[in-house]
Amino acid sequence: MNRTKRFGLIACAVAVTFAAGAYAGGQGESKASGQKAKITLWSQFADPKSMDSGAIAFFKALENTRTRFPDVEIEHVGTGGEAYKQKIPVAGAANELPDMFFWWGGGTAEPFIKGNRVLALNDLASDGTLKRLVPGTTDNFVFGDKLYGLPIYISTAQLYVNKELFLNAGLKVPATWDELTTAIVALKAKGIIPIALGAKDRWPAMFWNAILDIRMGGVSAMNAALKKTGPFNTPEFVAAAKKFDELIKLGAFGDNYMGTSYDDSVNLFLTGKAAMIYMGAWVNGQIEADNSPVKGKVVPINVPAVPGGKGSSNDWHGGCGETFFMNANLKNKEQVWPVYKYFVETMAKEAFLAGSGSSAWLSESSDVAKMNILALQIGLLSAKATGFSYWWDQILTGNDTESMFGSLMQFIAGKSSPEQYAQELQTKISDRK
Amino acid sequence: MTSVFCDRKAIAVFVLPALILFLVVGFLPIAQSAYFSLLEWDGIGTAKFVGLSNYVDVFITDFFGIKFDHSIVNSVVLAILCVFLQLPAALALALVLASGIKGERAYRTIFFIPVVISSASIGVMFLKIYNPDFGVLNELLESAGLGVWKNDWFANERTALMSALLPVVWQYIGYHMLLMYAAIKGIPGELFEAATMDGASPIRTAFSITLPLIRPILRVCVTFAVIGSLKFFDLLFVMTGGSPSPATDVPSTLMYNTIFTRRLYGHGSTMAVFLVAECMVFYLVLQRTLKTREERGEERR
Repeated sequence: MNRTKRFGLIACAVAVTFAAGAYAGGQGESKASGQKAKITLWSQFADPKSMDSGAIAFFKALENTRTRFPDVEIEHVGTGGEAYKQKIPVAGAANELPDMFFWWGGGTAEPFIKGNRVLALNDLASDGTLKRLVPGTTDNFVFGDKLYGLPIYISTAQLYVNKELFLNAGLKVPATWDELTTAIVALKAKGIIPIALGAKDRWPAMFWNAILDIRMGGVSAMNAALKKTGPFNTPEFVAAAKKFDELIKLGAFGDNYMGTSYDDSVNLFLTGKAAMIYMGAWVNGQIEADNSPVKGKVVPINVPAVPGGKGSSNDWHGGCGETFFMNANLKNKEQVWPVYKYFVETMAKEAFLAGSGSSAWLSESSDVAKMNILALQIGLLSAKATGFSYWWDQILTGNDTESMFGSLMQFIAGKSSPEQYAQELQTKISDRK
Repeated sequence: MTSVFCDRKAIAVFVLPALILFLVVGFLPIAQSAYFSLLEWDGIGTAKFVGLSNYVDVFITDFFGIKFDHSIVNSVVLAILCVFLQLPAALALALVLASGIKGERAYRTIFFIPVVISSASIGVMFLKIYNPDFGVLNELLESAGLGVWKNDWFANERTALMSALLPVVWQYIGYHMLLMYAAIKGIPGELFEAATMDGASPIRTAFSITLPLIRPILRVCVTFAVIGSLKFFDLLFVMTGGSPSPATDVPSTLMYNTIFTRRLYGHGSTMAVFLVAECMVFYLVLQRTLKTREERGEERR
């Protein structure tokens, strides 16, 4: 064999290898077209056996929707936890989002709205759907004057109180701020952590800051600050930070709140080592689980009004922030819309029954008997709500959230004063529009 | 057949697949990062070209309080710990193991186990050990009568960095030990026999025979340890991820956070470019300094 021939052979082999790869790639793509209409759906609910009330509701709704629309094939991909929060932005950047995907409203959704990745629903939802929603529940999904997602359930944070520990210490469930601080001192003296706080994960500390801001400044001032139409460095918010500081100095959160993770803090509460926890309704399931040591001993209450504050005890930290978005490039949106609508409404109902919070959809009475007792009590409390302010880390954009967390952690570690902290939020978030 | 290797075109064809792979997987992303570092971009929407202002912000103005410079210091601390704590420990273990103690193979396997276990598991394990409320470490201190030393290890700024870095140092001792062990085993046995006959003590043998002969592998270990420290990510990400206190941030965790949480692609890419440059510089400097010493030794001979 001469040299040129051998070279030609090698070149051939290389070419064949590449061609084979290209052919295999092409085959995968052509599989997509089928007989049934197909909807791809991504969510962060990866485990069908999960006891998380959101996951329970999701999988029940998915099953119901599949039965209801037999001619539609819903292909679901669930990715749990943090991985999901990376997966969607990456898919968004590559413009490879699925037809429908679970995501959060507010600042978290902003890049997708600005990048025209998400379908506006105004035309589709003008079929009477909007009238069936609890007023105010779409706030976090409206950008400009366009609506991008339908709400699922109203999630609230409340103070869970272990009645047994209070009774043993001769205390009553606090209705006023003074009663709360008295209880904190008394519990601490008995060697019980008054309030479990998982500040290692940062957002639980944010919850306390948020509710104190809401109590001192009121819901409207809070929402204005978060939407950058109002200031963060008002005297009310400084006073709220001072209250937070007072609680910390009082030992309300024990000694190790900084190194305690969210999971650890819930465990402290579940095992009766801590007497209170201020947390979202998603812990209902864990508290009332059959193997929970505090089952039946816990009552949810509003964080009491703070003297001198503008907010009332019926202002809530929480609201509607989770939804499913639809892909802006969706071709058969008229066909997908009824499926989407049915799915979201079913999930709202199931989430309510599973104890995630009250439904954002107005509907005839549900089967209350099977419900989580805590969810029922919270539903009664939040029915009197005068206003909602949603989780900061969802309303703010990712960058603002990290800046906020940075300042917050410095503050609760005692490295900056309440005034400095409020001013930092003002410069880092509000002044940067 | 030799004619093929003399044929430049043939060489080119053989090199091509690896070269393409390197260009696409290795070089292209670096070039892309360099380009992204000049943009103001959230990763999805339209990007704006801003020139070098990301570099100015990351290293000088630090508008968002990311504190990248602080994380570089942390990674250098880790590198120092690795070179002066991890490598000597690994060397000591390798010398002892190679001297033919009883259960040599068993120990070799045991010391290597941490390298094989996934970093996520090790991270979770150390989180439990350090837990301020029910962690093993605090419980041990308590039962040893040292209750005053009990600590919230990751939250206390004075202990956070060391608490986070020591598991990293511990995890890779086995890795370097195995490299050194293999090198020692490769030294011809006659040399040790001769040394024993001349009446050299084991320590004298180690310093006069073993160490000089495994110098090439030591150089590899130092390079691995330093470069690995500069871009270390997984274990620290699992254990702290920079919270509760930013004291434990290293450049890669901060870069991840900047890109995926803050959604500042420009800033994050700037950090990526810096990391690549930093590792290159350290690599070259290490190669230089360690090589000259070796050459000097040869000259003397």
